Amino acid sequence: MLYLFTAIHPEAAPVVSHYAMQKTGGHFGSIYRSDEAVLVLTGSGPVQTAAAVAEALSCCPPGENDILVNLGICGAPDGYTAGQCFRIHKLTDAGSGRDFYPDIMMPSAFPEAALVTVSKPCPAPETLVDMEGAAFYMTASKLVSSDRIFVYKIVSDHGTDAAVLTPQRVTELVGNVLQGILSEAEQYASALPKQPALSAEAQAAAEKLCEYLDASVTMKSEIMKLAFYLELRGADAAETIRSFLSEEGLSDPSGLRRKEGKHVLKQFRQYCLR
Amino acid sequence: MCLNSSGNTAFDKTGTACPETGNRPALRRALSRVYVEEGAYAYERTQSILGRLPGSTVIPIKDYKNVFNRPNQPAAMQKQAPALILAVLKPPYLYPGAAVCQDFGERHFFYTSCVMNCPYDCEYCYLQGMYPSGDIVIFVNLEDVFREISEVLKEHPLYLCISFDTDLPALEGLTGFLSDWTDFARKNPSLLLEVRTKSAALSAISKLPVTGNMIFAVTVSPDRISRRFEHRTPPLADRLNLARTALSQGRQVRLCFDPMIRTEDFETLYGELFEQVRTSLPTERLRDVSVGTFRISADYLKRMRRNRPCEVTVYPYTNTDGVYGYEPEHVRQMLAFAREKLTGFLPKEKIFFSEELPEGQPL
Ligand code: SF4
Repeated sequence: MLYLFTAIHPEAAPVVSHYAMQKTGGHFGSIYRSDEAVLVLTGSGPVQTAAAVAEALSCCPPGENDILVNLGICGAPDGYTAGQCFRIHKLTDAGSGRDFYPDIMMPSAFPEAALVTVSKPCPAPETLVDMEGAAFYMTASKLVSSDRIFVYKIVSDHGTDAAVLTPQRVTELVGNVLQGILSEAEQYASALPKQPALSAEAQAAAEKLCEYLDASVTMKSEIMKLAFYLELRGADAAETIRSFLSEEGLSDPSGLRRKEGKHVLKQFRQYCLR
Repeated sequence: MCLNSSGNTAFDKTGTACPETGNRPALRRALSRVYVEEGAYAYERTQSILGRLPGSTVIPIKDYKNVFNRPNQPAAMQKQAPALILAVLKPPYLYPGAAVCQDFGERHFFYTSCVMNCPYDCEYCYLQGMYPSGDIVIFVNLEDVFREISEVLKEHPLYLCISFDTDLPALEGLTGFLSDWTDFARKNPSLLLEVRTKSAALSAISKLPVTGNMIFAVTVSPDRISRRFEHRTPPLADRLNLARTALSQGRQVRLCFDPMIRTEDFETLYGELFEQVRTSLPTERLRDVSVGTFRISADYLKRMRRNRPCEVTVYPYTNTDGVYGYEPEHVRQMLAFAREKLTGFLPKEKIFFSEELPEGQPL
């Protein structure tokens, strides 16, 4: 699932139409959803952004391999061309002077740049400037790893010409690069490894063992860990548990008291470590 | 860029981790991003390292900790294709050796970290528990470390491990640090250096002048253990070749059978390893050997289990005073087995164990 964050509606419009999203709520910002993505319209400025990001991530918590993308327009010094899109590798919060570094683990099709986030519009930027990026990253990185936070900025103006920027023009600038941004984020999401987890069969066998041993919560946790270890070792955990039960002659789920169960658990541990 | 031109196989020619590690082709090249601390730019080493990484994206930073200590990093992914951070080391430069590390009877046992993290990727590596990041930090101000050592040497001799938190020979093509350490060691005979390595950096080491106060501590493991747990490391034959060549050049060589990893067929695997060592090296010329079973602090293991659940991290270890290891009975068996095999071709005094093993302990 992709989580996209934009500050203003003209930036969000191409995303909403790309995913055919519906607005679903939000107090600090507006949250839109489809089956494939979540869009958060944060509003402008660092405080608004931080509040909207925090709200969205707590009401729709991202999963293990979900990617968070902030995209939007930025100001730039003379010499940059409107429409140029950059993948941001360093964000500076101008207020505090703090720097943040998204971890770009996969080469980007877009050139990279640093971005400074300011709290009010900047008439003569000396570098790429916006009003959201650092606040977005700072909030998002509390919950999501640094490689899963992507920031893209599209040059829209040079400060002095910001006033003539129309909503249609902003939508056009974002729309021109949206596909490239989405495919980069999706490609990375698909490259992320899945955390190993206990298979359903091993889980069922381990639960059966817990039942036979009248396992307490602590004992159950140990049994699950042993089953997980067996699987990571490449052993068939379910089969190992079954053969242990049969070798121990355990066929009656209510045949053991917990004290005896503890003793049998010790034996099971040794059995796993053979 | 190959990390070093001396036989290191940590990364292929494009800087990508070797395919057998399961690295995904989509990842960035190793060392293709270099963060440079503002203060580090002034050092010649910074320029020379950057010169060896053409085409890398260079990002200036205020303090290496802002990158290396970021919260929520994908350390296991970074390990596959690490970024490089060039920084200036701040004091203290020397640390007393940790209790879980062997001192080989040396009284003033210290270590220093002029590089943090390693190009290899051993599943059991404690660095994954110690550092929040898989990126590699190189501190470019070795002279400051040398200055402090010179002061300490006025008081007493020093046994200093310089390749604990990294593999310096594997990075020699990039850093040239071993060459600097060798020069320094030659000028300071009361300094005894230990350089731990799993590399096959033969040509890098062969270029160094021979000095009696520099020990190359070559860690060896059975090939099957290496392939299973020590990703990107050279095969046993190459490590033994490094040890053999270093011995033939008159260098001090220590072999480290540490950590020994317990598997179902432990005795077969390690029995073959000891035999291979016996038959392929002039063992009488070895300075000594160290033997230890896998052990790790509870705090480190907790982080490793979270970040990288795998066979070696989720093993049901026993916690003894905050250190996880195999069950005492298993440790005793493993060490006793090693002792029996090693005393077949090495004098007892040359064998150092990670923990006391009662004399004559039966198998
Ligand atoms: S060679 Fe040593 S330092 Fe490097 S990853 Fe392996 S255990 Fe860690």
